[in-house]
Amino acid sequence: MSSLTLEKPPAPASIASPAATSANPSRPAPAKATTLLIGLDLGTNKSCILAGPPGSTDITVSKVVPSVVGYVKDGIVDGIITGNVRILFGEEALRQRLHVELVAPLAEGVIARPEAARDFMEHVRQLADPSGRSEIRAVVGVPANADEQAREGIRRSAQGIFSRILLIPEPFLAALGFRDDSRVKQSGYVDPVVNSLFIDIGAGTSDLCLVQGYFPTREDQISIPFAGDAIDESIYDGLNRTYPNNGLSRLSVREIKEAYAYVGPSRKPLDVKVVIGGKSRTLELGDAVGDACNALIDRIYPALTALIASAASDSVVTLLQNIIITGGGSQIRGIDTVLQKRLADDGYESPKVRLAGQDFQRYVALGALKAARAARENQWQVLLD
Amino acid sequence: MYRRVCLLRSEGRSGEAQRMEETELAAAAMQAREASESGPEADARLEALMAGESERVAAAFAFAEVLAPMLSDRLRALSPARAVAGNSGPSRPDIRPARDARGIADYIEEMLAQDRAASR
Repeated sequence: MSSLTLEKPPAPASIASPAATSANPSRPAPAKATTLLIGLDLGTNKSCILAGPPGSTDITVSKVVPSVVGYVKDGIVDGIITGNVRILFGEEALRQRLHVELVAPLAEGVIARPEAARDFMEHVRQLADPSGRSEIRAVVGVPANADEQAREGIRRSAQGIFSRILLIPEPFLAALGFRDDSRVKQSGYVDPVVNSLFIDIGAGTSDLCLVQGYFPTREDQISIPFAGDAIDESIYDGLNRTYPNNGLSRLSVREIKEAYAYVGPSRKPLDVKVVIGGKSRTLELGDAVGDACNALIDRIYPALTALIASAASDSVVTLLQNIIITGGGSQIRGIDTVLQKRLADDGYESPKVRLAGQDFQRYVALGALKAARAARENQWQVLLD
Repeated sequence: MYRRVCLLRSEGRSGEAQRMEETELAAAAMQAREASESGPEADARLEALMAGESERVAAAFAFAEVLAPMLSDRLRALSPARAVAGNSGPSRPDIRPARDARGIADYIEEMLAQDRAASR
C-alpha cells in the first residue's frame, strides 16, 4: 500500500499567471498587473474594441471607432487642438480633418501603414485600459485567408503594446459572436458554429466562410478584395461620369452609400440632396449606387455557391437555412433577399439568407473576446519587446 | 489513491471504488491524521486534496472525450486507403452534433494545427 501524503492542493491555473511584464518601458511598472482581455475587430474603416477581465462574462469596454489616425499638421496654432496633442484618433481625427493629415492604418483588411497601425494599437490599448497597468492579451480578427505577411504585420503593430496575441479569421469569430451561448443547449436552437455559412462584408474585403463544427480550413474560406471601399470607388466614378466636377469627397460618397445603398432592380429616381460649393443640389444616383452595389453581389454569389458545393452533401439542406450576412455590407438594402432569390432561382432547396442584425459591427469583436476567454495558456503567442 | 477511486467511479466500477475507499484509503487517511498535529486542519487539507483529485479526473475524462474523435479523424485522414484514393487535400472533419463537448479552445487548437501544417 502506498503512503498517503497530505499536501496543500495546487492553486487553480489562472490566466493571469504569467509574469507581469510592462510592455512599454514608458508605462509605469505595476506592482501586480491584472490581466485584461481584448477582442479586437481591426477593420479597414471601423474597428470594434471589446474588453473584459478573464473568468467572467463582463464587458467593461465596448467601442466602435473609425480606423483612422490624424497627425496634426505643422504650424497649427496652440489651442486649436485640445491639449495640443500631436496625434488624434477616430472621430476626433475626422472632426479635425482640416488640421490633421488623416492616415488609414489598413487597406483591404491588412496593415498598409505600419507606423499609423502602431499608433492606433496604442489608442486601442488606451481605450481598453486607461490606467495602462494591465497585462493585455488580445484576440484580433484577420481576414479569411490572410497570409503570413498580413499576420506578421498585425503582430509587429501590437509588439510592446499587447503582451500576448492570437489571430483568428474574422468570419469564424463572427459565428462565435453571433452564437447565443445561453441557447446552445436548447433543442430547437440552430448553433451557427455547427452548420452555417457566414458572409462578412467589411470595407476592404468580403469574407465567406463555412462553419461546420470544426475550425474552418483554408478551403472553407474565401476572401474577396471587393467590399465597401470598392463600392465607394465605383459610386465615385459613376458620379463623376454623370456629374463631372461635382466636388464631392470620398468621405461624402461613403456617407451617401451608407444612407442609400441597395441591391436588386434599379430604384430610379434616387434623388440625393448634397451641398456642392455651398449650394444645395439634388443628384439622381439610382444607377450609380445600384450598379456599384450589384457588382458586389456578382462577386459574392460565385464564392457562395462554391462554398455550398464544397460542403458535405448531407449538411447542405440545413446549411442553406443558415446563411448569415454580417459586417457593414449587411446594411445594404435588399442584400439578403437578392442573394436568397438568386439561390432559389438556381434551384437550391429553400434557401434562407438572413442578416446578423443591429450588432453587426460587434460580432467579430464579441467572438474574439469569447475566444480570448477560452484560449488555453499555451495557445497564446507571446509578443516579445 | 483517491485518484484511483475517482477513476474507478468514472469507469462505472463503483463497487471496487467503494471497497478501496473504505479500506486502503480510510487506513491511509487515518495514518495521515495521526501524523498531523491538528485534526481539523488535516481533515480540511484531506478534503481539499480529494476535491482536487476528483476535479482532475473529471477534467481528464472530458479531455479524452474531446481528443478521441480528433485523433480518430486524424488517423482516418492518414490511412493508406485515403492515399490510394488520391485525395491529397486536407481532411475535413465530420460535422459535429450541436451539443458536442468541444469548446472554443478546441477550435483554436484546430486552427493552430492547421497553421503549423501550412508552415511545414
